[in-house]
Amino acid sequence: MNKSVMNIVLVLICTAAVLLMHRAGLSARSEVESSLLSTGRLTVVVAERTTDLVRIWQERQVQGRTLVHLGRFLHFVENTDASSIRMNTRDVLRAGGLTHLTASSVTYRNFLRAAFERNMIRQKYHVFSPQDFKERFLSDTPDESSKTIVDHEYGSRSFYSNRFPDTSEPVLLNVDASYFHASDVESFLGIVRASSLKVDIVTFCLAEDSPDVSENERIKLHQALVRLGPRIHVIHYGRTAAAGISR
Amino acid sequence: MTRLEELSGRYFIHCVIACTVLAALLRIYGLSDMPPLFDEIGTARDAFDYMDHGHLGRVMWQHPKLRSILVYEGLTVFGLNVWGLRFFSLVFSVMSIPLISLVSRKITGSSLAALLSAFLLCVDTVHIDFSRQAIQEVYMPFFVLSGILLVLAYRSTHKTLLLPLAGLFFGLGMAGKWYASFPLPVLALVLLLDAFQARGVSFRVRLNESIFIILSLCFLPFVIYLLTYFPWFYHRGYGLDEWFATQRIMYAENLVHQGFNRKIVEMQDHNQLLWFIRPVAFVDFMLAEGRPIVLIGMTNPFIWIPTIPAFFYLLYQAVFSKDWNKLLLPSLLLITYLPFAVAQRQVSVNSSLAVAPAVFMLVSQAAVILMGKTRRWNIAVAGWLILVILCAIPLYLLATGKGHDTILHHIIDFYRPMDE
Repeated sequence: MNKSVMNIVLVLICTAAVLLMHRAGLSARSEVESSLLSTGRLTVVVAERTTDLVRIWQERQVQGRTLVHLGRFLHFVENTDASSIRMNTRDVLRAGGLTHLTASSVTYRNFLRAAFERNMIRQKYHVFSPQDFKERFLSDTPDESSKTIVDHEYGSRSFYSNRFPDTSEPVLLNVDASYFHASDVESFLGIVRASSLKVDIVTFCLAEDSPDVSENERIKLHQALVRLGPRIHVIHYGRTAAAGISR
Repeated sequence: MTRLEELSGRYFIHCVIACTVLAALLRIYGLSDMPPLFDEIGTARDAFDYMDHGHLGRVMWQHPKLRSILVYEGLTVFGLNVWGLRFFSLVFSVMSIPLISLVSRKITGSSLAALLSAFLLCVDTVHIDFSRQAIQEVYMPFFVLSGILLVLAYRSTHKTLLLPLAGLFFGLGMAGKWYASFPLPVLALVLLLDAFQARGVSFRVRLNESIFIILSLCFLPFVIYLLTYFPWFYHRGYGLDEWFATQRIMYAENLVHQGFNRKIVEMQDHNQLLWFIRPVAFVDFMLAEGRPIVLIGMTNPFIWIPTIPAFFYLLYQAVFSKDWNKLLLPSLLLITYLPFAVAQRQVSVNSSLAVAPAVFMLVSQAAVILMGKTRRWNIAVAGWLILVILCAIPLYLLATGKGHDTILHHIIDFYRPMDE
C-alpha cells in the first residue's frame, strides 16, 4: 500500500477514535434544560434528608454529572463494612465488584459516595463557607479567596473551595443546611448573584437525618430560599412532602 | 558455523515447541490448588467495577486498564474460577517463549542464541511466578516482544501493515503497564535512520516513510491505549480533557507508589539497583487450608549477574567488528532499564519483567559468541548453563509455594516481616 495513503488512513482512524471516545463520554451525561443560577428561573427541590438526594437524582436519571455541593461536610465516608472487605474468593468471583453501596447502607455520612459510585456524579466541587474552609484546611495563606484545593478519589477529581467554580458545564447544585453553620443568608445570596454557573437540578437539603446540623441552620436555609425570590419554583420531597418531584 | 549452531537451525522449530510445552507445564503445575492471592481478589473486584461501571478500581487504580478488561473477559468466558482469573496471564506467558526465540533470532541471526533465550525465559522463576497470577506483569514481555518482532519484520520486508500492527501491540502493552513503551524510541530511531540513510530514494518518499513510522509507533499506540478507557468514558461521562487530568493523577501516584499493604511491602526487595548485583525477590503470602503459602519469585543470579559483563562485551564486539546491529540488544537493555534505575522511588522486582527479555537475549547472544571462540569457552558456557538449571530448581519450588516444608524455609523466613 502506498505510504501516503496509509498515512492518511492512520490519521483519519486515530482522529476518529479520539473524537468518538470524547463523544461517548459526553453522550453518557444526562442533562435537562439549564438556567443561570444568578438570574434564571429555577426549580428547587427541597429535600428533608440527605439520603433523599440520591433518590431524587435516581428518579431524574442523573448520570455522569458535575455536582456543586455547598455544605460543611464531605459525605464521602468509604464503606468499611468488614463483610465487604474480608470477602473470600468464592464471593468475589461470584458477586463481581462489591464496592457499591446498597440502598440500605446510604446515610448522611456517605450519600455523595453512593452517588459517585453509581456514576450519578463523576466529579464534585465542594464549596465551603470561608470560615469552614479555613478551619478544615488550616490555611495560612493570607488571601484564600482564590484558593482551590484539588484532590482525587481513585483518579476522579474533587475540588474544595470557598467560592463557586468557574465552569461552563451545567451542574447539579445542592445547598446543604450545614453551609449556614458559619455563613449567613446575605453572604449566600451574594455569591449566588455573582455566580456565572448554569444549573439544571437544584436541591436544598434540610439534612434532618444529620445530627451535626442545627435547627438554626435549617431556618437560614429556608430564609435563603425565600429571599431568592419569585423566580424560584419550590417542590418539597420527603416523608412529609405532599407530592414527589415533577419531571 | 559451529555444529551446535547448525543443529539449532535444523531443529529450531522442534526445540521452540519443546521449550513452549515445558514452559506451559512449569506454569500450569499445581495451579488449581493455588487459591487467589490478595492482589488477585482485588484484581477481580476491579475488573467487574471497571467493565460494569467504569470505575478505575481500588486496587492498583493508578495502573492502566488492560488487566481489568482481560480478567473480566477471562472470568466471563471461562468461568468464575482460578482458571478464568489467570487465563490470559498463562496464555501470554507461554506465548512469550516462541516470541523471544523469534525476536532473538532476528536480532542475532543465531538459532542457538534464540533457543537459549527461550530456555532462559522458560525457567525464569519471576516470570513463572507472575504467569500464575492474574496480574499484568507477564503481559509486558508478550506485547513488547510481539511489537519488536513486527518492527524487525517490517525492517526486513517493508510490508506496510506490519508497522501499524506493531503499534497496536505496543499500545496494548502500554495499556498493561506504561513501561511497555520504553523500547519505542530505540525502534523508531532505528527505522528513521534507515529511512534517512536509504539511497536512491527521493526526499518525498523518505518524508512519507518518516511520517508513517511516527504515526505507527507514536500516535497509534497512544490511540490504542486511549481506547482501553472506553468503559471509563462510557459509564462515567468523562471527556477527553478529564482523561488527560486523570492520567496526570495516575502519573503522580506512580512516581511515589509503594504498595497498599505495609506488611506485603516489608517483604519485598525494592531496590532496582540490585537487580544485576544479587538475587532479588517478590514475595506473596496467603493462607490456604489453614497453612501459610509463601510465593517467592526470585531472579536467577546466574542469568542476571552476568548481564552487565555481557552488556559491555557486546558493546566491545559492536565497536571492534563495526557491526552496529550488535548495539541493538544493549540499546534495548539500556532503554528498558534506565528509567527504573533513575526512578525516584524504589521499584519492586516484578517490574524487572520489562527488562527480562532484553537480559535473556543479551546474555544468550554473549554466551553464543563466546562458545564460537574456543573449546574451553564451550565448556565454560555449558557449565554456566548447568548452574542456571541447578539454581532454577529450588527457585521454582519457592515460586510455586512448595518451599515451606523443605530446607528452603530458611529463605522464606528471611522475607518474614520484622515484627512477626
